[in-house]
Amino acid sequence: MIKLEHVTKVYKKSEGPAVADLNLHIGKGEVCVLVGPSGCGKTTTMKMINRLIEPTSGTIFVDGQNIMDVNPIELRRNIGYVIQEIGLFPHMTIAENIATVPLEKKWPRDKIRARVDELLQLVGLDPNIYRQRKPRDLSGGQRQRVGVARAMAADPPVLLMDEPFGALDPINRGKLQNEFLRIQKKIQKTIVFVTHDIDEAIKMGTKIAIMRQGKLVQYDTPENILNAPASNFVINLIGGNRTIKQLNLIRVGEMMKEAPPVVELSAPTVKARELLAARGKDLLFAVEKDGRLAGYLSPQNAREEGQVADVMQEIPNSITPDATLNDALSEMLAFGKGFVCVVDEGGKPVGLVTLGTLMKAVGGNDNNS
Amino acid sequence: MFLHQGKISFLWNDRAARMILAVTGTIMTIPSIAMFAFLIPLFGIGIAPALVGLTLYCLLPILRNTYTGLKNIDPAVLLAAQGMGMGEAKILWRIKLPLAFMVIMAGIRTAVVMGVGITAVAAYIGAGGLGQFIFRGISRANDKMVLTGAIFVAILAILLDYGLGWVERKLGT
Repeated sequence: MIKLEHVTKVYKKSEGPAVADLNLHIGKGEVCVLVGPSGCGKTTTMKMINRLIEPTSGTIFVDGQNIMDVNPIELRRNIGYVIQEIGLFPHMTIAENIATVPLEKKWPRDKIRARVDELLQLVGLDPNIYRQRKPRDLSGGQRQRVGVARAMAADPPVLLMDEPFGALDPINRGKLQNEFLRIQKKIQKTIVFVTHDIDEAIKMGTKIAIMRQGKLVQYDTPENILNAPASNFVINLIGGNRTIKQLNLIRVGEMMKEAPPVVELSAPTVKARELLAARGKDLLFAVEKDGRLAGYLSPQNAREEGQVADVMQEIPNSITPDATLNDALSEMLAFGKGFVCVVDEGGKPVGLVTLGTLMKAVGGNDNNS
Repeated sequence: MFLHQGKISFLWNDRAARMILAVTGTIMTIPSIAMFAFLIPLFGIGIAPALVGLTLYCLLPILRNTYTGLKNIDPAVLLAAQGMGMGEAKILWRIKLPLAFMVIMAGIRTAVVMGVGITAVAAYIGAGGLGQFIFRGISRANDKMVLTGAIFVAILAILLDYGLGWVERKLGT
């Protein structure tokens, strides 16, 4: 889908080339993460793909076409672009921001309106609330959601994302990463993603291109890079515990155990005791009437008399199936318990991750390598 | 049209911008009476030199604010616009000018208020207007005449500023 052949970029005033003889093939539907220390040429490489920067030599093909043969304006309209600073237009509403490219492409009005609503829903913002708001009314995470929606507005086959989640706090970043992976599973775009954070690269990438001083050091799947780093530079970049990093590769949904039995908040604890005994479990989830997770009960809790609501313990946080096992581990550490609950988007319990799950995941990888 | 092209070229060429701003800044420092005196040999007396002088004085606040307004736009906004395939002209009209509008308007308001004051002085070179009351009042030592002229000039300036403020709010939102 995207092919870079012998691409070199030399800036006039600098000594060495910013990008030197780079060859990169990115397949359709892949997320290629360009990662490396600042000044390694990753952003320059990305900006050459939509001709914000012109290469000094070499050729770049997008969808089989040499991009130098395409009008840059036309080219950019077919390549979504997301930057760390987001760059929403502050004088326009959220809807107008998202409609930018469709407007440039002269889509009919009602088609644009429908598309805006569809995208807002896709990125988890209620169109009725946010359509007419201005960017200043939104939080950082919401703004970046709009940034992503704006980039996808005209349904471009290719997305360029330059540290899209870099300015967010860790919690929001993790959340947006997971949501984005969920969206990507649906839309299957070809994505070039720039980051300096190797953990993000491992989590987001189908392939990772590690760059240093304008050169490609290693280009492979996250698994292979973790298992067989090509040089000391890569080992240092990956940093500490590689086994723990591998937890970034595995989704909670792939490894989670079946959710424990659930009991309604209003039920008497007798019922909880019966359930525990009948299923031979040592954990129960307490749920609201509509099935949303409210808390949990241990056998000790269930021993007391009364309603489930009175004796249950609260669950401060839970995770979704598209989070990584690494997220699960952080939650466990924060929560101080040996397990973390997995809920779907509606907050209903769908599974459970325990320390045992993590051990199994890590152990499995050790056997492979 | 001339002004419009000037605005774009500023962003392209910072050096030109600084030079033009320095020249217009220097013009501003010339006292208005001296300025009109300079203009008489070139344009005679009456309305013509008054208009030329007024234009010269208005250049600085309008140009400087337009320049500052365009210059202070968040570069990320412009990068995003460019990256999404908006052309230079589209970016100017749909992004840059709307975002710089408030600052540009502030420059225009300054120029207008200042212009009213300078126009009063232009009566000195035979351009007529409210300034005549002031100058005649001074030469005849008639306080009331001076006050009448001065008060009406002030009212005119306040009204124009208020009117432009209204326009700014209407267009700005």
